[in-house]
Amino acid sequence: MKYDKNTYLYHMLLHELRDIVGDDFVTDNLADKVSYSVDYYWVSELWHDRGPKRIEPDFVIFPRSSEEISRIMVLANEYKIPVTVWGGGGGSQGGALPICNGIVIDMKRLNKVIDIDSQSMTVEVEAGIIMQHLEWELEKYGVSTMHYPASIYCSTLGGFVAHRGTGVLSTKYGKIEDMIISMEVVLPSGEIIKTLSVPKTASGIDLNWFFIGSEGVLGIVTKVKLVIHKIPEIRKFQAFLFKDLSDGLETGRKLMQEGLQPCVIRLYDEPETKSLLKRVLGIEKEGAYLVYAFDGKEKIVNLSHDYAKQIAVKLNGEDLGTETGEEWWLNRFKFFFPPYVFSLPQAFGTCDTVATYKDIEKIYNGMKKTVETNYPQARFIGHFSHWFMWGCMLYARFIIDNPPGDPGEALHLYNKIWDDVLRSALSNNGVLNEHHGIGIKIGRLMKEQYKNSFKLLQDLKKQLDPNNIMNPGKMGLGF
Amino acid sequence: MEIEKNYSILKACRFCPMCKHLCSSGNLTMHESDYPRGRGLIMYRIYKGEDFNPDYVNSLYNCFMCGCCLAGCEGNFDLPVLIKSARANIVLKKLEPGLIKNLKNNLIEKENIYGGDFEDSFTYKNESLGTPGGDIVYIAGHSINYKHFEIAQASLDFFIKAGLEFSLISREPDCGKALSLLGYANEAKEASLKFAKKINSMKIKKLVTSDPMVLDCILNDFKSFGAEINSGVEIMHFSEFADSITKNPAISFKKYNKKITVADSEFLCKKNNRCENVRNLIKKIAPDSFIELFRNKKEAYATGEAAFYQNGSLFRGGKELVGKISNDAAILGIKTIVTLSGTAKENLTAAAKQDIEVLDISEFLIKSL
Repeated sequence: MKYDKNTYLYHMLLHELRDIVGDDFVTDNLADKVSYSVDYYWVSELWHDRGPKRIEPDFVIFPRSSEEISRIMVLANEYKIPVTVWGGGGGSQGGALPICNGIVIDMKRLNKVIDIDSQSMTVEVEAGIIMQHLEWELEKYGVSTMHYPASIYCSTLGGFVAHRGTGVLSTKYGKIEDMIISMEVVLPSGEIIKTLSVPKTASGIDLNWFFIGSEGVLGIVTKVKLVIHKIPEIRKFQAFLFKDLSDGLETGRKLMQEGLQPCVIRLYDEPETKSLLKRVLGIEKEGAYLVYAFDGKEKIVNLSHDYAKQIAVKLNGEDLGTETGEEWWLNRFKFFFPPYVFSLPQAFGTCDTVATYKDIEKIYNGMKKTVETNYPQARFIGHFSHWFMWGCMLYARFIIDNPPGDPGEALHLYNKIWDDVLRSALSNNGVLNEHHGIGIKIGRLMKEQYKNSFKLLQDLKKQLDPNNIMNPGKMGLGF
Repeated sequence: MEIEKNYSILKACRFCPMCKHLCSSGNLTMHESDYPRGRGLIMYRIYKGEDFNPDYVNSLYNCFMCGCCLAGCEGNFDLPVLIKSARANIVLKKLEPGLIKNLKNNLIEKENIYGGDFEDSFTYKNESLGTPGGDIVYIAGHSINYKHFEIAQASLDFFIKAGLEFSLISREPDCGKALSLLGYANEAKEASLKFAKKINSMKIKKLVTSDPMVLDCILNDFKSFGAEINSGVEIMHFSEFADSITKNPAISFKKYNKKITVADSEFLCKKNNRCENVRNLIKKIAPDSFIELFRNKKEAYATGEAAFYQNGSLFRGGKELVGKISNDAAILGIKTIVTLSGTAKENLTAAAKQDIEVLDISEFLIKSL
């Protein structure tokens, strides 16, 4: 429901919001409305560029505490006005976009580091902190979360929890969900709850798992306690080149399963090696580029590297040396930002998925074939970046250099490719996404993924948010 | 339209959020429209034909022009340059806020942002300290000439201790930087020409200033204004000048043992790569106790220098902005923070913890003689 600024009801609501947070912390100004109508979701950028009409929030509010957020939610339920939560606006799935207008809660004033427990190696933080700011604080004490995604410079801790983010060192240190000890959450009703003080208990259902990855549709994460780590003695890299992607994949699998515990494994397919790696790192090689790293005590790292090298060489890898690997690390984020990243007028999508080692290569080949056969105007590239004992993640992308000029037609083509590529993944035991989330971008495919178990999610949503005001229209959960 | 002339800069911003963590204004207000990305989005709308409205105008005048975002941008999105051109557009359309107009009037009528009279300025009151016809002219800059007399006094005391002759300009002209930052390009040009004419008439060899904005204006803006200081005149910040003459036997320092650091200057260090002279000076006096802040040089927190005109009327966040510097200093056990401009000293003094002293580099030198 869009509130008409010319009506007194609009101003009644504005008055009540000001009463909660203070006059200075609510805005309905046009500059903010533009800024909160676009995140990193390609369609929002397309519409900003040439769409006829933006979808804007009615109000943007900046609470300072869980209690203020609680009061906002109570008010929102009374007015039945949608609420969308915004961290850093770095999401690529449209999860933070106020597609039903209403209220945007900007979380960034909740940015305090509450406590660093150096005995338990945990940090308790407010969820609106920009991750790089948290890392700067922890750095002063020689510790780190080891959560280093490319969006570390803009995205908030709460945002990462909301979509199950991952970082470059996830292979050893885990995704964000692996780092969480406990949380505080404001429910759609306004009730403030805390999850248990530690995970890994046998004390009933772990409440953390209701909210991790829930993308703001079940509640608002306000505080998080995370694991932290000492900065390792060393972190050492090595790079290899494989003529055959399969050998690269097999190398990665063995690195994971031979008890070596690498902190990074990244394997690029040949097209991505040829294009992006050449552009960013100046590597002019044909083949699949693999970089891996170990970190920790120097002696252990060096020994791990010796074992790892043996594995890679045995699988026909050409040793490119340590410096090449170090170069990748120094430039690890460059790939994702201008001028190296794809941008308008191109249409591009990151169709990440994850699967077991048994299925992942089949998924890669299936997605590649889908794009290259059905969409000759598109290119397909991919790399494998987050690895587990049982499988790995595929970061696949399609790129169309000259999509249709008409924004509606461009969107239709874009979504068609998404549908086909992801259905190809689903048909080979893949999933819709590994760490970017669902948002509005691919919510329409959730029923296909979950099949009859999707009703569980719908029922949970209905129970927690009967008025459906909490980020409506996202994750396929309806308006 | 000015924004159109800078389209290549506008296009370089793909609204990625890679610089968000560095932005001074955004990380104070938290509004997306106060981050570089938000401003890029707004200016793109303008470029696409939307009109300026008061909200857009305010967002564009809220930028502190500190350039902190540049350290994070791989795409060469020079936001301060683009903001300046947007402000020039706003001024051409006569849409600038009343406060900005008032500042402009102060600058045109009184040649300083405060609207102070020449007769109340340091250089006017102390002209007799200088020796006309000398090789060196000292330029205080607005914040020092009308507010922070102690910095000018310490700078001149240093010249005197070093046995150097210098001159002052009693009615110190404005270099045009402030007008340029506010969007008044034509007025800035006129001011710069007048400034250059005055300096060139003095036949000096060195221009020494305590104001990094004056230095930046002469080095980087004058050419585009059509103004020029005679070749052979060296333009230096006080810290550079002091560093160059500390071999002078007349100058000796007593050792300083308390932990000390520098709050880097946006215009001196970030924009003009002149980060080392102040460090050389401090290390001569405090060889064992100089400590770098966690964030320094190109990645230093802003001190509010470029937001000079947001002098409490627009920008009430000076204390909060530099609070981060002060907090980090406290963690490191620092007792003295050295600053390089009047604005930086003012903001840090307001924010500093009780047991931390804030001194301009000139004051620190005089205290250590």
